[in-house]
Amino acid sequence: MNFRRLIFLFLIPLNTYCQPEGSTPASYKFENISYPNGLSIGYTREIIQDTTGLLWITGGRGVGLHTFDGRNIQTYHKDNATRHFPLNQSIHARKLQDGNLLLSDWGNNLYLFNPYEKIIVDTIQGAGPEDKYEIYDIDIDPSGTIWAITKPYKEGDFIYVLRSENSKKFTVIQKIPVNNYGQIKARDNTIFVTADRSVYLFDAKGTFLKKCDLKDGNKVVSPYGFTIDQNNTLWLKSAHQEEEKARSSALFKYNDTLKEFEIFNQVEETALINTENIVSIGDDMWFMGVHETLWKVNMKNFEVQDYSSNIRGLTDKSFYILNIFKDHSEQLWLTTSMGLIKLGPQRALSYNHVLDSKDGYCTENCYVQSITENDQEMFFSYLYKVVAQNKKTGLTRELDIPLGKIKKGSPQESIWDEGSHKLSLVGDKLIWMDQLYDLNTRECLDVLKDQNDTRTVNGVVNSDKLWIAPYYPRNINELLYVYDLKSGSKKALSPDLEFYLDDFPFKILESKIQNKVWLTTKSQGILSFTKQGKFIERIHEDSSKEYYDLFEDASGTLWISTSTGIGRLKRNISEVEHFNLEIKNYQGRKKIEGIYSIVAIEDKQLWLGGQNGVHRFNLQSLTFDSPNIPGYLKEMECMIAAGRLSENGRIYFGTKNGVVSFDPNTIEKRTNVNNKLPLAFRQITTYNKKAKEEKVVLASVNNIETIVLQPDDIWFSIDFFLPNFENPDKTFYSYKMEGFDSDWSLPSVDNMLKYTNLKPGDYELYIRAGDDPEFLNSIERKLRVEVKEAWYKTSWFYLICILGLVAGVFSLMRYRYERKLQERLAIEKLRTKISSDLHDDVGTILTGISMQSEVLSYTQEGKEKKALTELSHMSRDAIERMRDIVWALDSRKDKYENLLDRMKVFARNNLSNRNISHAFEIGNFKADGFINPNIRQQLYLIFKEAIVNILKHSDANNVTISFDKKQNQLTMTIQDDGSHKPVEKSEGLGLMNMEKRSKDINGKFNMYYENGYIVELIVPI
Amino acid sequence: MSNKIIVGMVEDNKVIRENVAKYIGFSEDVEMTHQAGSVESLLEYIDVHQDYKPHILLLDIGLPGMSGLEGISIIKSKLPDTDIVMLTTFEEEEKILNALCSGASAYISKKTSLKSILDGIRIVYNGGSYMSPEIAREIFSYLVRSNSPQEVVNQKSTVLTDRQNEILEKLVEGKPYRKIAEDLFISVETVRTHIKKIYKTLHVNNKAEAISMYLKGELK
Repeated sequence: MNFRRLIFLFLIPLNTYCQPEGSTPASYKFENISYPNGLSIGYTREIIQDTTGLLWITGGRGVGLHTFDGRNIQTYHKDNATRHFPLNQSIHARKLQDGNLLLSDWGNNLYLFNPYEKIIVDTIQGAGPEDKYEIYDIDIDPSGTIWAITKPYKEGDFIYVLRSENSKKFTVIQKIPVNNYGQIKARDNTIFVTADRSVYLFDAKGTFLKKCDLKDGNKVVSPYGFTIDQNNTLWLKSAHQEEEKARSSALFKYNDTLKEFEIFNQVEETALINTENIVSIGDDMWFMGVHETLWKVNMKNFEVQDYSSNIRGLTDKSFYILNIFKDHSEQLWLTTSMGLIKLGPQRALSYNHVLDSKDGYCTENCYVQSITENDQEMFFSYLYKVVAQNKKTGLTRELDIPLGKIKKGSPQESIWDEGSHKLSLVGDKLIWMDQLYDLNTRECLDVLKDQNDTRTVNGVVNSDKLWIAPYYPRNINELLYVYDLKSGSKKALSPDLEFYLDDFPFKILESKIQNKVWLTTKSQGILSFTKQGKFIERIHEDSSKEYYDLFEDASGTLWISTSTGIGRLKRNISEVEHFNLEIKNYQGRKKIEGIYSIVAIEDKQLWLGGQNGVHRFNLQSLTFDSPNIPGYLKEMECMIAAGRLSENGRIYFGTKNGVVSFDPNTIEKRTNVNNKLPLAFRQITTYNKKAKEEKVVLASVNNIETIVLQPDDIWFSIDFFLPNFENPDKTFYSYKMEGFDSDWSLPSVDNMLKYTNLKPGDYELYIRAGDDPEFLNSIERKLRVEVKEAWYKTSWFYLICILGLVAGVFSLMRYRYERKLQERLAIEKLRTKISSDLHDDVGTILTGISMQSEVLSYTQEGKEKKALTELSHMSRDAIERMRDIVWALDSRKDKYENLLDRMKVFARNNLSNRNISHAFEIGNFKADGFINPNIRQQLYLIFKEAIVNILKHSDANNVTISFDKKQNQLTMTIQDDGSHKPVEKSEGLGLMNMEKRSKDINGKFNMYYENGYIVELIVPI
Repeated sequence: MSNKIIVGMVEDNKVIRENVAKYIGFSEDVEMTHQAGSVESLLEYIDVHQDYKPHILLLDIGLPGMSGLEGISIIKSKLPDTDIVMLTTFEEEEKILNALCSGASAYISKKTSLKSILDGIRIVYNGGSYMSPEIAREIFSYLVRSNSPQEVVNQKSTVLTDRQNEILEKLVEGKPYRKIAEDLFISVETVRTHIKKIYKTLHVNNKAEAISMYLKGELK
């Protein structure tokens, strides 16, 4: 068939480099989607795309359910713990308005499945008892009512039509006797059920409307597949296999008026044979069936295309095609009995790399300096040659312009990268180097009219004049020439340049509005001349700026591409206004970019070719933007003044590696980043150290905003994705955890992140997805991550511990203090008790003895009286001494005042009796202070000793006792006014005792004479 | 009607009791008419012998049953004209002060000679009394501080006369009566009389709670 051959032609892969401009091939690239290990995913049946863009694919018996995000197939199965699917299989699938999926599983019931939580949320009970019936086909009508056909599990001869309103239990609408299984389709308010060779019609409530018989002559009609096209027309295909001659292969169209199915004849029979199912997509109707048959018919012009052989090439096994599905990104998918097939349209490259090193026109140096064109051809200038390309055929040829004139090592050769070798075209004549080349006669003419002058020229053509600016003008006079095209004569202009020009021009531009010609130079600014050649001015304010290309807009403003971006020279103004182009790379570093070539689109936009790719400048807003352009266009390095807007509307740039061309209207590439499909989380997993297990937190697309990690969750990972079926390897992801990462992660196509051992706290996790690694066009998602602190690590706990510790220490200290105090009190109590006991018992006895002997002595005389009196004294003495001991023991007498009182009593009792007057001089100190019991005792005894000595041995009449306490020292002095030293005659015990007692309390004892005898004691305390 | 000083005694120690009684018996101006071994016994005797009215009653502190201190007020109610003289083994200042405030007129230490005891009886009968420096200090502190903080600054008690304050001061300093008498140009007897009056002031100013608090050390 002629059609077939044509189609075959289309299927040959075309050489893109020689591709005719502007044509779009209608071929598909077929790709078998399999697991990473290459295994096919098996039986696939229906496809649903959820709101995240993820594809859900049902399979055959025992298969479960698959998801596909463009890169990875994931299969959910009943036996899989981490990817669990509750049913044995999924057969039919429909998408409900709330986002849930309606699934059948060859069982009695239908299930409402939440694709995010991956759980069955509801069950719609079928017609009969379990295991007796299986639902064979389902559909949902526009009001949301669910319809199904169920048949007995084993062979049966009837079907039930079931209806479920509000997802409640099914009710049986009708029982239809059939031999073959039926199909059901809802369109508007009518439900169509095929049964044998008829179609039963019901209304939305379930009321039987009509039975339509399908007729195709004498042939057996087996209705198989319904489809509704874009005009809401219902179609029905009769199943047909080539072997079955008697079977109809007709296509039926439903007539809404007559309410009948009519055979539709305009589709070629070849498309109808071997096909069973039909699917309408846009203008096309797809026919598919057994033996890998796949046809596409354009329902407008009924052009037929057969893709069966393409598909056959994918596997060795035979299979049949069940369904075709178009997703959000216009991608087409086939479900087959052996797996999932992707139909990737081979789009025309939005740009063409017209010539490059592979074409063979250059070896080392493929710089294309200049571009021009006539009606038939495009002309491109290389270093040593000019290449022409036929606009229709795309075929290229080299122009035979003699090169011999370029001598090796000459200036012409070394300046090739500086914007030389410009091409100009006038009529049939091409100007290149210093040659005027006639395209028809192929004759060359030396423009400079001098064979020895081999300088190249840069020229621009007026209607009859050719302005020539040769490179490296030898002198000022040779800067500009006018070449008369008619006469062929050249004339040098003598511009009145006040400076020496040692530069060469990149571009010459003749103004359309004023009498001006401009010239850009590398380092000497912009020169302007009259068209007659008279020098007007030089604009050159900044020697660091280089000027390259020129464009004059309708108002006479000159736009200049410079080494820093774009410059604007308004008419009648002599100063250039600069607009710098700043490029930021994905690491965030800014750089100023130079622009070499300008291509203007009317007066609206300038397309700019620079050091790094293509940019744009808007002439109204005076701003740059970077169009979303593909691959090579972003990296190419443009040549100087090598851009051209071709007559067919395409833009050409000469680059360091050939020529690129593109349609400025369609160049911007399709983005995967849009507001329709958000960045979705598929799964969040945490790993708990204690439980030693992973826990999967399933994430509903819009719901999850916070992840909470417990103290023992060592790591967590997130699987995220932006569905991209066309170019999944060109979706880049990057993420950053605020509070943990200092910067975004490097862009990568991997769509998983994992964080380990995050410290307790609150973090914000940002994930972004974009078309390019610079994320110029991206979407972002934010997630809060809360890492909980182990209760025993919180600052509260530490505080409590510290407080507890402090309290504990405090309590311990107090307890010990209390105990010590108790001990001390016990000791004191003991002391007191001992003294009390002594006081009571012994004191009383001694008193008795004293009194008894005193009474007895009263009645006696002489020696006996004396003896008894002595006894009485002795007893009283004993009482006195014991009293001293008791006093010393008595802890209630531990104060200075107690000591002083006692001393006073003793002094009064003893000195007064002997008529020795005495006085106490007590210093000014706190008398109720505590004095060490031992010191108290020793002081008292020393005092007593001193007084007794005075009594016994001194002749004093007055005694002064002074006692003072200052700081850390006690001072006691006993002074008499006698002349006899108050010591024992033997000079022994008394003094020794006093000295000994002093030492005992670390005191200093002294006895000396100074107007009487002084006993002095200094005791440190 | 004899001019003898009638003395009674409450003392539980037989040796002391008998010897004091014997010794008093040797004197001509003093007569011990009754001795009791406990306050209860004395009270019984008083109840039986309504005309028993000794001039001086020697009262021991440490007694079986009711202590001497507790008995003071009861005895005083029965024998209002009798001077109660406390007999102390040692000078227990707290108890003495307590006794003085309860109504005792004086105190005498047992450890002194019997002769001194007899002298003491005579002094008290004649209107005087005896005070040791320790007791003087206690009394001073009690009187001064129990009134108001103002007096602490002035170091004087408002309930005592100036003369009494002077004497109290000197007693605190430990001066013997002879010296005090010389300094104040009064006789020793007058000193002793003042002492007894100071004790009387204690009776008048005796507020049970105040002294209890003082003795516990809370009025300091």
